[in-house]
Amino acid sequence: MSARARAGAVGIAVRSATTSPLLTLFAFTVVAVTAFIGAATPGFVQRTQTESLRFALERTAPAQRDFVASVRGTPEPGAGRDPGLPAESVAVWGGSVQGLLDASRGFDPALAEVLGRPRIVSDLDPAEAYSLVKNDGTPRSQLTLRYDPEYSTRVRFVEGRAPQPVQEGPLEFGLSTPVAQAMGWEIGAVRTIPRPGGIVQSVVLTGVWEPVDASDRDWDHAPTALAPGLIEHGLELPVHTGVGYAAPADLGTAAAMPQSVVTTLWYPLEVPAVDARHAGELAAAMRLFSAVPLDLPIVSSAIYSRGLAFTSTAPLTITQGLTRIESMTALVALIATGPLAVAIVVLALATRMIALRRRPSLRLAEARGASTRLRAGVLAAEGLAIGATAGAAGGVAGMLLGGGDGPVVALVPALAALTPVIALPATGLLVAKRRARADAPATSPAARRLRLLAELALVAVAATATVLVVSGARSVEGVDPLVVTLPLLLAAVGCVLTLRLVPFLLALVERGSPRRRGLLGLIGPARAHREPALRVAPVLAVVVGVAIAVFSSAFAATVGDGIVSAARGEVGADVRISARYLNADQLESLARLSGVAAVAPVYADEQSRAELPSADLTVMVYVIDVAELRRVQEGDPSAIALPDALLETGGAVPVVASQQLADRVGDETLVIEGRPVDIVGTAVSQTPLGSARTWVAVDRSRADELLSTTFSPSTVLLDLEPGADPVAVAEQARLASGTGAVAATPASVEREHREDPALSGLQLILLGAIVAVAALLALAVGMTLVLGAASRDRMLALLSALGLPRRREPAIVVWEVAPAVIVALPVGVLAGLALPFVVVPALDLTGFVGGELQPAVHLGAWTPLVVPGFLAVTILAVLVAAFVARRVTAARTLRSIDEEG
Amino acid sequence: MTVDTAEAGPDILCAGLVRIFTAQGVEVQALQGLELRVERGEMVALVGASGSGKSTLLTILAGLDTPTAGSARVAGHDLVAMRAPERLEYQRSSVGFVWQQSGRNLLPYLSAAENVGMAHAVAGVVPRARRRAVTDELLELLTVGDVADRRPDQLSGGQRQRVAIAVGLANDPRVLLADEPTGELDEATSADVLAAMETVNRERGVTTLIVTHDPAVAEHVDRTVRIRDGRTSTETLRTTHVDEAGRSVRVAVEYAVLDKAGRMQFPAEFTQALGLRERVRLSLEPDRVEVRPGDAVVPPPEAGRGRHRAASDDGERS
Repeated sequence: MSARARAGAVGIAVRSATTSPLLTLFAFTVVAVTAFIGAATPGFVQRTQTESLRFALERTAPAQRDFVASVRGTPEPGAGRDPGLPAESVAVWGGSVQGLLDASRGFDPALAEVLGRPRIVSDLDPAEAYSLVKNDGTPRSQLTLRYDPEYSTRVRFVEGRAPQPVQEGPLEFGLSTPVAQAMGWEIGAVRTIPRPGGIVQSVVLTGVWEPVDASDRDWDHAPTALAPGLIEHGLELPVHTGVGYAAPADLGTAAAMPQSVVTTLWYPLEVPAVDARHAGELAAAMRLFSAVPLDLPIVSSAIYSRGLAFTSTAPLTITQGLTRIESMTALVALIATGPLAVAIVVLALATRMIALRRRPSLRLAEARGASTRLRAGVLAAEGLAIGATAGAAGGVAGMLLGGGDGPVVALVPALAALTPVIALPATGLLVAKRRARADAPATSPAARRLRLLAELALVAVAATATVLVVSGARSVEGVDPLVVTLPLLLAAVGCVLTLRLVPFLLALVERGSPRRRGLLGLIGPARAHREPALRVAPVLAVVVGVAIAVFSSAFAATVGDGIVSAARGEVGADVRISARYLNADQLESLARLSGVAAVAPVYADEQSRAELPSADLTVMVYVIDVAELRRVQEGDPSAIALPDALLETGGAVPVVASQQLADRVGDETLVIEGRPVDIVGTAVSQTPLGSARTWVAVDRSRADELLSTTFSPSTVLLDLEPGADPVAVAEQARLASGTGAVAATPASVEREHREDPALSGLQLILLGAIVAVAALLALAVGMTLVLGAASRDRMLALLSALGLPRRREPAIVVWEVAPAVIVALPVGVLAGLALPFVVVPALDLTGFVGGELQPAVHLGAWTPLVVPGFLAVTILAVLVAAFVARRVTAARTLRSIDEEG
Repeated sequence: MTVDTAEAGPDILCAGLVRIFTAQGVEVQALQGLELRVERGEMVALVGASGSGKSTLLTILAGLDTPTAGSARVAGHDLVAMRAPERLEYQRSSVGFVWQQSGRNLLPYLSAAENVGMAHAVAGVVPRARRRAVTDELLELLTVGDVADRRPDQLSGGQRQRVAIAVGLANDPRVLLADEPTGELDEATSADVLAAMETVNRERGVTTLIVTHDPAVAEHVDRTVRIRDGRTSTETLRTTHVDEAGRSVRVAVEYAVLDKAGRMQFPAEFTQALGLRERVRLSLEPDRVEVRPGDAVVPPPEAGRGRHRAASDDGERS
């Protein structure tokens, strides 16, 4: 006898498990794909979040995001052990740089990782440099002399020579070519700079240089070194500003007048090193670093050194980014539950198919005396073999491709791998269980009571969760599991509703006069009503799938709409111009630009001292013209509400205050610059008038009571005529507003927000979820029909024996799923429509849309398309399954009746 | 365990066996007090029309279902009182089955020898070392040794059923239960398979119960029990004897079965011929019991000779 005859128990189990390789392969594929997507998604999300965080940090100027400290005085000269400086600077600067390097070794590792090599420079205060010959036509120039120990590595002298330390004679320095040209400064020309205390310093330009790398972000710390700046004072001649580099070893010259020197030290923030996964710890470490001043020896005129406090906007940016990250994590988790639930249903269907194939073997084994434990064990082993290998393969591939880490990566693969381990023995033993007789009912009264209780419990849990989420009674750090599971709970309630409703409706249809409808009209509803075998799977798939798709679509629309309205609120008009200074002529010409209907300048903005009985504050005062601003913002939903009380004369100065300030003030009386003010209205703290969050707006007529300078416009809001092109007008307005002016339109701000990788990543995930649930829905419907094929084929064989034409057969198939799907579809839509209203208020979406107002729920144009889309997918799945079902021949089916019964 | 090691009693003993199925409030009595006794080593056919309760009885005897009332003992096991572990033990070593469909007997992806091996592996009764020898021996006994390495779809119907018998006997059971073993076979092959069962019964002393509605089966067994409406109705005993001319003659005598409560069933042709309906008159004669239609107006002349009793058809059934 051959070796095959000697197969032992294990061999036989393996043989049994490999008899339906297609089904096994299918289950394997479902597990592997689910595990893959589940493992890859966290990595994708983490990467998107990191990109979003870096994007936000990149958008802030390096001088703001780097950790910068400045102090009046010069560093104490001395050489360090190994400061890594150019030779000419070591002797003077080595000690300070060494000190900074040493300090960074004590930083929190999270912080040390993202900070670059520390930098230090000393600047002699900017001052005008006068030509030795009066009125010789040289442009007015304001020079800032900088001592930078590392400047020689950043510049290359193209003309003349590098400055050298001098004992006597004029101080030597170098300028960049454009700055030297703008200042009209020839190489070798000497000019004089008056310094405090009657000192007159003479300086000589020894050479002009070009930057080694103009794109080096380090230049952001010397804004006018590469290109000159310009200061305009009304009718006076404009002043050209620029930074010149003196020999760093010549610091002694500056040290002689410490009251005129500012030393700036900074640790550059290496944005590419920032990672969203550790952003929370990083922001905390940054705050701690800013709060504890460093001690470095500085020669200062101050008697008492407070140490160096390094500050940066980065912690704030990261914290804001974190709210975005948390919302995104919650949202992705929330959306992922949908496809995951449907995937598990599909997987359960696949294992049921396998279990049906195992049924004869299981029954045989049972009859021959195989214990339940043995049969369950063999099935569980088979499930484990499928689940573990597929889960591991998909999970590892997804992890490698997604690049995520943490336990969250393993969560979905583990779930997917475990499903067949549990489902295969459970369904296997269930389908192999002999029903005493074919006509015995599948459910007993006790089972029906249990089902009702379970359904009531589910509804109660869902209701409680909804109330808790909607009322906002809970405050949960991070991702709220209740919010995440709510969609699934609501969808489950939808399923219960559908499953209760379908038999009821079918009974109604069945009771309607059958004679009119012919054979199919009689058999269709009767079968659908009395053979409810596998209705749960397609109903769950349809309800969850449609709910998640509708929600995703509505959510995308809500965020998109939120961005548009936040951008509108941020700009405050059709166009907003921000410039350094706008004179009356420029305002006039702006108003006359073609396409501009009205202008509303912010006539003045000044940081002012404000007092409350309980505390002192700093408040920004914006001067506006109530009539102008009202006209410009007319019809804008985000317009600043300007009550008439602003125009009242006499008494306390009427102002509109930002919400943030109004909250701070409460019932107390606010006094600004010694004058009591009356808060007659409040507005959103983030305002198009300026960047302050605690501010008051006062009408021009009362402005002089709070400010000394009531005309220094730098911001203008423009209202355009209908049909005017905002882009073209904005460009013209920008040109008309002098150098350095910036024009913003709602569209341009919106574009900036949309560039955030978090947003595009989120949209990709929303789209992916819709596609995934659609595909899974098709699979679930198709598999349900395939599972029902045996009983249907028997009946079709009978019917064809009675003379039913084959072309009518698909109608029977359609009757199997159509009633459930038709009822489930609107239920899914309802659940999907309810979700955004329940979930959006529970998530902080301001991080996505900008602004500080939670966006209102919008369904958007695409949402109505989701329903026909899903209907089309379902119909397609039914048609394919119906077509596949036709291949069975009647003879074979009739012969197999007994075996399967 | 309630294994009867004395081996004194019959191998199959059913008394007053009742099995009621409840379907949506409607009760179906599949077995209504069935009596059956099969002695050790006997080969008995159980025949009956479709729906008479044959398969229900066999499912109970196989330990796959439990009766609603009554008692059933097989190979010393009390099937009513039996708990799960004993049931496994019973299925593993005391009974073997052959069903009508090969799909329920044999796994399609295993060869004949492997199917026998599977029965060994599941039960674990036969020591590992002996399994191969037992397999070979059984397949040879059933004359399918030459196709041991073929899978069921490569075997003829008769071969399949013989392999199924081999699988049923794999663990050397005391009782072999067969449910329509020839249901899917033509006449010649049926005879072949039944002959194989006879061989097994004779050579191994396996008590064999064949459930069938095929009258041809009756020719191969000495005793045929007929069940009707869930009750044993008649028994036919066949004996072979040599007549005066030296020819071997097989004689069949059919008996009605009287249960412990004194109930019996009349064949339909008897009741129709005499118009026996509802009430009948019984009278005890010295050597027999007479049954006459109950609606006779005039008392029969012989009335005084025996004791008279009127029996109601309904009363008897309830």
